[in-house]
Amino acid sequence: MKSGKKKLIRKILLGCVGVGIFLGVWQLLMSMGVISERTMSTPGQVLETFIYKLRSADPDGATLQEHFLSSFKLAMIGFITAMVIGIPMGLVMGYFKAARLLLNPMFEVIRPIPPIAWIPIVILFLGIGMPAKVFIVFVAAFVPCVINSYTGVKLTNPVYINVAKTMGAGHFRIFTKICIPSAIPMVFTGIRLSLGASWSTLVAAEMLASTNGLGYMIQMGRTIIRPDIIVVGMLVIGCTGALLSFVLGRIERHIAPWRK
Amino acid sequence: MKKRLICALTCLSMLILTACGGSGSAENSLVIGNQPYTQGIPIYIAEEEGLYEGFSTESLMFVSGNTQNEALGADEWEVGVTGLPPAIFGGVSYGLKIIGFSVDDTVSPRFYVRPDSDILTVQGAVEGCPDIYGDADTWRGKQILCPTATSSHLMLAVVLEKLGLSESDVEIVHMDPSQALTAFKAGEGDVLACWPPIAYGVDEDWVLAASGVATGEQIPIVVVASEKALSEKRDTVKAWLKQYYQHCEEMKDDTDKLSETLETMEIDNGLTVSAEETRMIVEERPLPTFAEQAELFTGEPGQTKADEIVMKYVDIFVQEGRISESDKEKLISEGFIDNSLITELMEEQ
Amino acid sequence: MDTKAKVRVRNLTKKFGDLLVLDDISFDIKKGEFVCIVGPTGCGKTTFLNLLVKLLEPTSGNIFIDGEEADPKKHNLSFVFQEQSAFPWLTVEQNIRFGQETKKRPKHETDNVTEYILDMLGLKEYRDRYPHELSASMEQRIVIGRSFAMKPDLLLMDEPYGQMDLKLRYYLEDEVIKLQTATKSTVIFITHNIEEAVYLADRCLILSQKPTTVKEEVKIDLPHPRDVASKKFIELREYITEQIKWW
Repeated sequence: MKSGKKKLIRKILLGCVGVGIFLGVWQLLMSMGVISERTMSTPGQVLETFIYKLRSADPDGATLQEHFLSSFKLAMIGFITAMVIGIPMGLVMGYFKAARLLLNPMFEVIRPIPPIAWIPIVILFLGIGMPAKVFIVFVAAFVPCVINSYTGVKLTNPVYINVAKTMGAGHFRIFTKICIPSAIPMVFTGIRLSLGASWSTLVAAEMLASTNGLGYMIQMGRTIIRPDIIVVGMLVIGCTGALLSFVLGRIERHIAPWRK
Repeated sequence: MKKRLICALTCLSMLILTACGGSGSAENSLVIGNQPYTQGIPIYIAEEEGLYEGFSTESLMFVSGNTQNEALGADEWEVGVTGLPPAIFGGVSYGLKIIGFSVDDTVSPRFYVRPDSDILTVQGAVEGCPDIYGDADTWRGKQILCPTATSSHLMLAVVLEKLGLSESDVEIVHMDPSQALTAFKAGEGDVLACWPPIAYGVDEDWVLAASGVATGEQIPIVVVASEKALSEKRDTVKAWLKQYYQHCEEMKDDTDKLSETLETMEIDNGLTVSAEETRMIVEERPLPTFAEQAELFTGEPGQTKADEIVMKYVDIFVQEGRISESDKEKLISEGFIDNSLITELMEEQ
Repeated sequence: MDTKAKVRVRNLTKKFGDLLVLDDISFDIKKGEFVCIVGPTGCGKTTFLNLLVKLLEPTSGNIFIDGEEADPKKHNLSFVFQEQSAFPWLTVEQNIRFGQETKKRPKHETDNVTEYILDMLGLKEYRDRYPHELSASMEQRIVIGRSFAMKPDLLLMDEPYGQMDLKLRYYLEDEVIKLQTATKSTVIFITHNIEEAVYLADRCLILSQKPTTVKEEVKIDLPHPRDVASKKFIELREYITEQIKWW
């Protein structure tokens, strides 16, 4: 389709132009001395450091790939666990009153606690390895999954439920065939928020105890005053997050083809 | 619409410019980057009691060397006291100079093990260091809870070196020290690195397997000055340095005053510490004297005792890859350890 | 036509708190009959339909279908709501299958009926499309198709053509007659539109203001398809209009 392809090219081009302008302004502000070279690196330096880090463990103790894989594993396990537990929980709480009465009080207490606050308790019960850090990420990622799934079910158009009721559908059929499909757009919003929370809590989780990871790398960058390392870390986190979001969008389109 | 855009852009650029501009101060005034620890007590008292003569001061308090360095990057302070690792990183990135030593920090780094650790089965394996337990075999592969790129980490490198090991032979887990203490109590890790007052919270049956003191090496807290301050107001910096050591010597023996002040400083900056703990800390870490500086900083620039001590740790950072060889050369060529002020003060005496 | 009553309404009363909406309503509907209910806004037409399908419980009185108390699980009921109710997450074909699958009909029967309905309503080429891809009238066709596919004992329609233009209304009215004739369903159809009522119904029930009772029943004995310009048609239309003039 000619116009479809044209649209795609235009989209990519505009995106690139946007990024290009940003990089250009950044470089300009540094060349003009508006942003001091003492406190920040130029886009060129960041690129150089990025390439360097692919080969070298200096100065933070591991290569970029090692940091990335460690963080990615942590974020993904926390995120997937949150989805697997949080989404069904939210959906069930949204439809079945008994479930809501049972689980809601606990959930409302846990919800406002910032993930970092869990660290001391988590150390006592889960130690300082992967399970402890995954738990911190899980706590952050779990909340949006539950809330959005719950809301998705609650917002089911009553007309659809009434249609099914009139047809003689029982609770289980109404829940699985009406409420869950109806909730899917909100569930995906929750997943998207959850993904963002997983990535951003990563840095906090790695503060618990680490030998590598993107959060650790950024912390090291700060201690040894290497803004280029910090920016490389931030960019990797940012770009990975964007990529995952894109993949998520594709998956959503596949699972929910009826969405406009 | 166009007008509004221009206005917005102008405001934005002004914001950026003011944010990036440093705080310059007049010729006979100084901004001091202080810390709420023993080394900062004389500065705190001098400010409180108006003891400085010949110049005015303003001081900023920094709980960590990291934030202190970030402020340095923004030219927010000119002279101060800080730990050796942040001083080295500040030297590499911002041209910070060491102009004297402050409190001897060697007593601080401590490495504890539980009573059942196999490290304790060997003692005296390191020649000349009878208080370092274990040997290469018993330390190899141990999980050590220690915050990286700190004085403790540097001392750990010294301990490992004495044992004939390197960092790659052990697993160093970077942790906040108070959380590390909790974790160690919960059974995590094989060796715990910590320092007072956190070290005062260790379990009674834990054993000090190694420490700064046990290595026989020295690690100082340092007195520093920014490149800018040294070039623009050298005389004021010199006057401040002289008075800093004068105040140290005057207050040195007043343990009560020192420990009370330390307690106030820490609590005001959100750190938990008790009166007994601050007392122990000031007793263990006496304030420096000028005579000590004279001994440390005598000689040709780059060849003093102070150089030897500091460069040892610079080398460790180079080995670990934290800074590069060229960073080290830059430190040397730009006179990272500046003994000129001490030398001049010695001559004036 | 089987003269035994398909639906018997006996002394149906519904109160919401102190508000008496339906007041002791009783009437019968024969199997295969097409009944239109006309009445003033707010008189309780929708409430009445909700009571029939047990979405609401009556304050007193009973509704019997085939001699038993109305029960959506037991009886074959279908409801076309005023609001758009095609399931957005199912294709046209899946929508039409839904009611039959809820009733656990055998697959080959469902396949046959679905094909038949798709064909009858001209939806065959859109079977794999989603409702949002189609026009509003097509969506309503999906809903009507879904309802008739269940071969309901009782089909309830609550002003289903409210939002549509004249041409569409005529078309869909014919569709409903076609389907009803083919499936021999019993239909209760609510409308404001007197012409529509006369066009569709075998019998027209005129409701009163609140507290609502059945004011009058008008039999419409005209053959399908009905000519809206015929003398009898106009007479009936005018008569019923006269009856409700005081609204």
